[in-house]
Amino acid sequence: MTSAPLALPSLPTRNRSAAAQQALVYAEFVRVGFINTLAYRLRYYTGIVTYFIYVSVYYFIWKAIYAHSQRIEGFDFGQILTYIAVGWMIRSFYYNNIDQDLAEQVVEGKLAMDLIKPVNVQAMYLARALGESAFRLILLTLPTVIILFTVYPLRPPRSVVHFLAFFLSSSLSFFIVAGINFAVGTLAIRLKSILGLLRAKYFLLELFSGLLIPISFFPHAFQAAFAYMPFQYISYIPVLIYLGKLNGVFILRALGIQFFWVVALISLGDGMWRWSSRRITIQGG
Amino acid sequence: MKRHLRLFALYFAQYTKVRLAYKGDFLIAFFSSMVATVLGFGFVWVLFSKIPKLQGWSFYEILFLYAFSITPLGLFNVVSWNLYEFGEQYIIQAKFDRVLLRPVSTLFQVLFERFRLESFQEVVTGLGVIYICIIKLNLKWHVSDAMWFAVMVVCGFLIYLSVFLSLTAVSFWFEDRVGIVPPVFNMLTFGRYPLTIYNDFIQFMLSWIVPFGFASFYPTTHFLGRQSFRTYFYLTPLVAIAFFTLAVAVWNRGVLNYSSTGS
Amino acid sequence: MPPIIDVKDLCKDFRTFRRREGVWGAVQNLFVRDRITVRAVDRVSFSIERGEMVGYIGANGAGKSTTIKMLTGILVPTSGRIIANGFVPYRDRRKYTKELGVVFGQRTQLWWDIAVVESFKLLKEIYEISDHDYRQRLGVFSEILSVKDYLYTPVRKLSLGERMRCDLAAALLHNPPLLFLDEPTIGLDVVAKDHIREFLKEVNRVSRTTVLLTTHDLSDIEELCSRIIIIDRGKTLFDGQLADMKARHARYNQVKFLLKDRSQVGRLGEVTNDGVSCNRLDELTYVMRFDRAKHSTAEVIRSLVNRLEVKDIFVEEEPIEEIVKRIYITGGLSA
Repeated sequence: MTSAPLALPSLPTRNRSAAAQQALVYAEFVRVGFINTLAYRLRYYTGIVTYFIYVSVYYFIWKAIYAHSQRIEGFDFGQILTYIAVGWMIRSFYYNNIDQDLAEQVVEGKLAMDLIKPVNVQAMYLARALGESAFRLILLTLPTVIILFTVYPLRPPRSVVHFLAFFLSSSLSFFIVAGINFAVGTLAIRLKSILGLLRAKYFLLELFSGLLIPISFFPHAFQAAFAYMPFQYISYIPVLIYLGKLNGVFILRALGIQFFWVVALISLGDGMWRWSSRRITIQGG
Repeated sequence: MKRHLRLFALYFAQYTKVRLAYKGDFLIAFFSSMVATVLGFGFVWVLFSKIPKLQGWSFYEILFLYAFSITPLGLFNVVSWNLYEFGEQYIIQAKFDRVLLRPVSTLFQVLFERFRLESFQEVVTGLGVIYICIIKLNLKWHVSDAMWFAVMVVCGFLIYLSVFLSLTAVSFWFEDRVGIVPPVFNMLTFGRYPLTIYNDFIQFMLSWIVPFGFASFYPTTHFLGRQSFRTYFYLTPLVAIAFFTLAVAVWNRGVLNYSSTGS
Repeated sequence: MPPIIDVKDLCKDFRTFRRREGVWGAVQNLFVRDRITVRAVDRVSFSIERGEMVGYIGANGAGKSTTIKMLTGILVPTSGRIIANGFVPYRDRRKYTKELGVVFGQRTQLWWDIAVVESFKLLKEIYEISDHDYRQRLGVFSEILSVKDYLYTPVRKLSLGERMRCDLAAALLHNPPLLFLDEPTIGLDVVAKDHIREFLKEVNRVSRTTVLLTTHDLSDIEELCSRIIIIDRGKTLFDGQLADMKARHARYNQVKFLLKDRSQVGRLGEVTNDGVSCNRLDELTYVMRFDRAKHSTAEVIRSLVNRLEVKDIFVEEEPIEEIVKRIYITGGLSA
């Protein structure tokens, strides 16, 4: 693993430059996240293959299904294929491992090192994940997009405006996922092993975000319940914007709700961190 | 062999004791595992609320296939824990040195030092769902079917083990964390739906390169009374043994490489 | 009887990759990697007789651990030959390790989460130790290593010293004729160190166990080993008796003395001359160091008591660390 030295300010001073100093620190975390991700050579090569396989499985399933129907729940085959592919494309960007990283730190007894840094721990993890996502955007999402558009007959975004809104919306997806992951990750402090929990969360996000199948395919009771949860705002909503199934005011409304969830989840994570870190038991390393 | 069985029993008992010492954590892990398994069925369930059939396969037939694929996978998950962290734990942190210092097979030590006990739940859930499907589909099973079923579960287990063991052994050559496992792991999804929906290339690959088809689809067709893949069904044990032999050979080559490079 | 360890022209090469730094470097690493070959062990030869206790020392990266890894069968030599306990370690791994004890000071060989005694029970099966032998040896170790108190504690809850005792007991449970210790006293306090050393002496005396140990703490060597092998940059610099090493490589003697009162301090300059230096230890205690080739100890003491009023005098050998340091610097050529 590459470990770049962190340029931490000696003491945060109470003047105007303090904020700028702090911003520099987080910028440093972004940079380190970027370099660390690059260090995993094989992961980068195979990540593209992984996403291609994901989309291919569902391409064949939907192709078999649409062999007998023209439209299901308002989606024709081209739309559903685009829905699936674009969903995985943005996932390659918003996905992060904050929860696992946090759990690892706890298991290895390194969390104390996070505590003695003069920074907000949640902001640090978010910044690092953002660095990772910047990496993914260039070296994972971009090649994936090119390959998927070449291999499968995917539709372009509905319009330039839809694309811009989609771009903003999927950026907010990153913060929703990061918020959830950090909050879940803090549970590692109180539990011995949360890998099982993380696996359950993984499958939950896959299904409830609409990544595998559009939310409108779910029974109505589920759809009603999902309206009060953040999950569909990770994948379903951004992709609906891309496809032009959300328009005008509805886009603004969706973005507003996404933003609400970002704030709510980050506050939740902050609260969870305070609650958990009060009783940190560093396991012997 | 007898010594290894005794050792296995001892390792298993030891590890179980350790896990059960933290009851709360174990319960959470068990419950999470259960949730993950149930959510895995979610896609099929939601899909079939909108469509009646998938290329001639009914809901319960797809469910059978899906459940059959996760049953041997559950067995594999019980012993595969160390495989996932092998590169990081055993190679980079050199835990493999310790393995080499003991007069027991290296593979035995790596597979059986830890068990993901909660994954037994997957086996039970898989069997339960299969049982429901048998009733719903009104399948008539004889004793010989049940015996074949057991054989096929073991074969499936060996196939999963062989594939991931070979991939894990790659860590012996590459010092970086191996990124080759996730894409193949995702190929498991292919095995949960009828192989016939895929193009020829994928069908070939899932049969002869990464033979997940033999761990789920081919056995299932036979149990569901579909006769078009009979030959493949009877080939399954051979495929399992062949791939397992290959995997062990790759592993042993890897061990040799570890010893000459020292990472 | 043939030697229990016979090493001839042992070499080990490693190939590594050079990593570039910074963002651009990380991008470059994706596509091109520089290979370099490093020779970690270079034509090392030695043989050890049954029952010997040998210290194997060298600076970090000198090739110590690599040698130990080859001797234990973890690593295959690039060239050269090892016969240990009648086996070629890496080739006959399972047979060889069954009669081998190894302790790595930095890493435990025990199972982290389970009670010590459970680890021992697993080892009993692994090494196929009979019930009788197991009970008897466990009894002995509980006694002399006093591991009895924490037999039922999980390894992760033990202190370093306690863990090391358990590791030692675990390594000797099957009564191996050959024992390798890599930094067995690292990080231990004085009492724990002493305990471990006494135990090793006892084992060596009673079972005639051959011991090869690496260490940074040269007092381990002085306490335990009569023979020492020094390695630096992969090559053997010295191999012989400890006393021999001192005779050949020690260059200075030391005389430590206590002055009668403070009035004597001002006159210290009179005793330091060519080849004799004087250093202050505390207010009244000083130590003179002089070249053995140029001055005799008697002569130095005589000149000291003639010129100063001295209360106490101690004659000391040059510390072994200093001698070894000199061997590193001169590459083993005696002065």
